[in-house]
Amino acid sequence: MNTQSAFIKKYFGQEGKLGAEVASFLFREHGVSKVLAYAYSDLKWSPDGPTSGLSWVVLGEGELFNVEVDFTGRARLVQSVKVDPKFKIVLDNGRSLGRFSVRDELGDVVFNAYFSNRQREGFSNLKSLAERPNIEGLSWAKDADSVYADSLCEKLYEQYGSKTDTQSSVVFRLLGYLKPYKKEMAWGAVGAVFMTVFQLVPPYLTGYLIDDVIKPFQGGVLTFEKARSLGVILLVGLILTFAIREFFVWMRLRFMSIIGEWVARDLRTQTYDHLQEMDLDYFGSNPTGSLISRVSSDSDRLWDFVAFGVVEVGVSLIQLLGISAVLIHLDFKLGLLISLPVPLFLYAIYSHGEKLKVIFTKCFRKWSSMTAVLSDTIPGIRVVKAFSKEDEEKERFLKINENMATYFNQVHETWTKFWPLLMFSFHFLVFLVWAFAMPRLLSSGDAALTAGVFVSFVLYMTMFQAPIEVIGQIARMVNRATSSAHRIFEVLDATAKLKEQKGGVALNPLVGRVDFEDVGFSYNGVSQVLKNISFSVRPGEMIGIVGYSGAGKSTLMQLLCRFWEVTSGEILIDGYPLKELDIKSYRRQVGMVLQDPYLFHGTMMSNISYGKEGATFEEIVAASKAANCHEFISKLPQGYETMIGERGQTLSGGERQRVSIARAVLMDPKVLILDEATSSVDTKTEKKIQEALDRLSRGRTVFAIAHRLSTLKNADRILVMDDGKLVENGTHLELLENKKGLYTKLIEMQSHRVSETIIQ
Amino acid sequence: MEKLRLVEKDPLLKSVKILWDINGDLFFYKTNVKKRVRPMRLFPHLSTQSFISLRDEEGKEIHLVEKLADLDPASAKALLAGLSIYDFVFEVKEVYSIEESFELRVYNVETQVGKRRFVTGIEDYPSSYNDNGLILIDECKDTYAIPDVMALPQKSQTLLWPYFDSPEMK
Ligand SMILES: Nc1ncnc2c1ncn2[C@@H]1O[C@H](COP(=O)(O)OP(=O)(O)OP(=O)(O)O)[C@@H](O)[C@H]1O
Ligand SMILES: [Mg+2]
Repeated sequence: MNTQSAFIKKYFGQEGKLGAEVASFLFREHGVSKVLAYAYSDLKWSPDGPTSGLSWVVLGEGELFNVEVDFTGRARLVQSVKVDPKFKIVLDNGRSLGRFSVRDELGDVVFNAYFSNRQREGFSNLKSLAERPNIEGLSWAKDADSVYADSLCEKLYEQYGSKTDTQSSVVFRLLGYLKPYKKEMAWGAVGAVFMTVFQLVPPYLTGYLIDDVIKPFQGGVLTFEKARSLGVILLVGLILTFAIREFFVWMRLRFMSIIGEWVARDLRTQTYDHLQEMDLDYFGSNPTGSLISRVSSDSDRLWDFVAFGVVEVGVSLIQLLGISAVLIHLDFKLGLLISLPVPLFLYAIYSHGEKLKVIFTKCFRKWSSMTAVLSDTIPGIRVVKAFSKEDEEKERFLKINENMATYFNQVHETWTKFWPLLMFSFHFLVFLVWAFAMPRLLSSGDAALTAGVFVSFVLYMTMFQAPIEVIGQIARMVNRATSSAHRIFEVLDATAKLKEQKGGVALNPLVGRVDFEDVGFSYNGVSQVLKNISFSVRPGEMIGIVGYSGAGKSTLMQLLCRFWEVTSGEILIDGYPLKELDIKSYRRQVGMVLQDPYLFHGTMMSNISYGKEGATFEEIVAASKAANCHEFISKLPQGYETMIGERGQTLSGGERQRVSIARAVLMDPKVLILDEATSSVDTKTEKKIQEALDRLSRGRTVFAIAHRLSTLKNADRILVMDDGKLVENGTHLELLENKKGLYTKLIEMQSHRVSETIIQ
Repeated sequence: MEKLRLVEKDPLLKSVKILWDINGDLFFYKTNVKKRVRPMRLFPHLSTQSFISLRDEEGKEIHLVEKLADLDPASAKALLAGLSIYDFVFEVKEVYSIEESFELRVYNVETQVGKRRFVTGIEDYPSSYNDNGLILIDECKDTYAIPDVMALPQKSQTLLWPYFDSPEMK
């Protein structure tokens, strides 16, 4: 809740919830004790066109208020109106401006508020709540603050929604994933440190060779034998240094790359596990593609950050500090001369990166318009040819392509200029070192510099460049990694709204008695999809459900599966409240065939036996026969081993439906729910469905949603739904007796349609 | 050969009257019919003075004003007043900052109705119109128009540079 408020402030620059001053003003001046809902009116009408608005439209008990808050935070009533059932609330949508008006019986405006699109959802919630006849009894509705916050935030949650929302907090959280691998981390770090230390040895040996071997030998201080044996020791030392260093390099790479993979693996598993436990609400509001890429490519992108990024930065810092220390130790003044400008170099690289980022944004924009042209014209090539627009399309592509090249070349121009300049500045320092060292090399006094020290110094300087480059690139690397990590954390931070009872009652086996007691349901907490539904079903009954499209039939059945939580009332299974049952054991005994059945990529057989591991061939064939799909499966060249799904055999809607019926039946559920997909089936298929239904209904409770009413002739009872309400409940014949009833009407409509098709 | 006319001229056009009332309603009168309407430009950015559709509460077009100039002056004025409400879009006068925040791009701007902060997806770039214009549609489908980028303060132009092509680069 609080994060949502902060979110609204940060991205919309408006208040995260109704100000306390408004609520207290309404209480004080108008006796409003409970705010039921509110929305923000951010625009105001004036004769010269809209101006900025700063007012809240608040629904109290039975009354609407428009309260303006001035810059000092003082509230003032602009308008108010008693909600009257005879009044009409009208929402007008303009292009970016909406209008909320209340009109009396004559259509005259009695209340007016303007707002931008951003507030539209809020005002439409306000409208549906204000129109409800008895507002006080809305036990199912969410509280006003969350209705307001959701109305604004939900649009952004697709793109954004993690609790970890600054870059450093993302990095810290990501580093937390390294914790289980402390030991390996330690080995990696040891490798990195010693790799750096041993890198420092060869230049030192070179200096030693010059000052303590060659020069004394040439000066006659050292005998040939002595010099030779020293030389051999140095050679051995050199080769040993190289070997040891490479050993540490291996240690570092090996441990860190493995840890990187482990962290990526952990994140993937954690995200996937979390996704499996999320409720349907979550999947409804997040695009599938985006969820898939979070589990797959985002976690993969983190590998190189963990494997190299984390250590690379550390190593480079050690190198930089180590080399500076050695240089300063070798020669204080020259050492400072070269180390002090290092921060400047780092800064230059950083700001160069920032500059490139701006140009890259432009390049990416061009890139996306190029791919847009491609993905337009290649699938649409028939249209292009039909209008003979090939030349124009070539021209259009050429233009974009050239533009893109121009901007990418701007990137190249920038970096190709930058690096030589940077290198020159660096080399200029080297030049300065030479220039300052020269007189001291040639002199012989206190300030004299030996040839050996000078040579080691120069060699160390060349090592300076690499870590500077690495550190300069950190910002970019961290950026990339944090955005991937953020996308993953977003999934991990999402919580399922549907709470599962721990240690719930396991009904084993289920008897199959179902009671709906005054059930109400709303998907969004504002508009009600199901209202006051009550009915009872005895074990073994076959129940048909009919009604217009959108009446709430599928929703009703999904509630029975507990895909969603009822917002009011209760569902009882064998007398136990559904929400107190152990949900997994319950669902294993409920077979559900969804309206839009989904088959996995795999064989027919693996799809049918999805719900029952180790099902025998006999069982699979029997279930298929019961579901009337054996016939078409046996015609396929590979029989039950035919691959289906993408790249496999494509099935028609009816065939998919029947295969998924077989899948449900194989579990031998005590309660079977069939949500029939379409009314557009031919008479032959219709007969098959009816046969299947009759066969399946033996020994279990069956709910069948049907569009072809004739398939339900043998149902024990039929529930008729209209606009979220249960309007009729009885047998086929009983319902037909009510000549004005909806069922009679539906039957008449269908027979009419049938006769029409016959005439055609 | 006469050119094909896609839209028939309304012979009763002169009898059409449009009235704007102070409550914010626009009324359309024709012969005996009076209806509350909402106006909508069919070419919102490209042609602001023509093809204005008048819709009833269900969104059905009940009249199409082909040219504003065809109306009597009072009606034209009323229609413009109605458009100032229903065809309102934010007009950006200055850009203070454009920042990226993970998957979002956050704009902080000055508009004709004061400061606004809004977001688009990181890959939803502004689209261009006319010579130097940009249109941004944010995540909530609010429209922000910049009729002429070159007329903005220098700093705004710099901030917009990545999203804007000068006419010769289009
Ligand atoms: N996941 C959802 N989120 C929000 N609203 C939904 C969702 N699913 C369905 N609705 C809405 O709930 C209402 C009832 O839908 P439902 O699918 O239960 O109808 P139905 O009776 O099964 O219709 P049909 O005969 O077309 O299958 C509809 O207005 C629909 O738009
Ligand atoms: Mg349905």
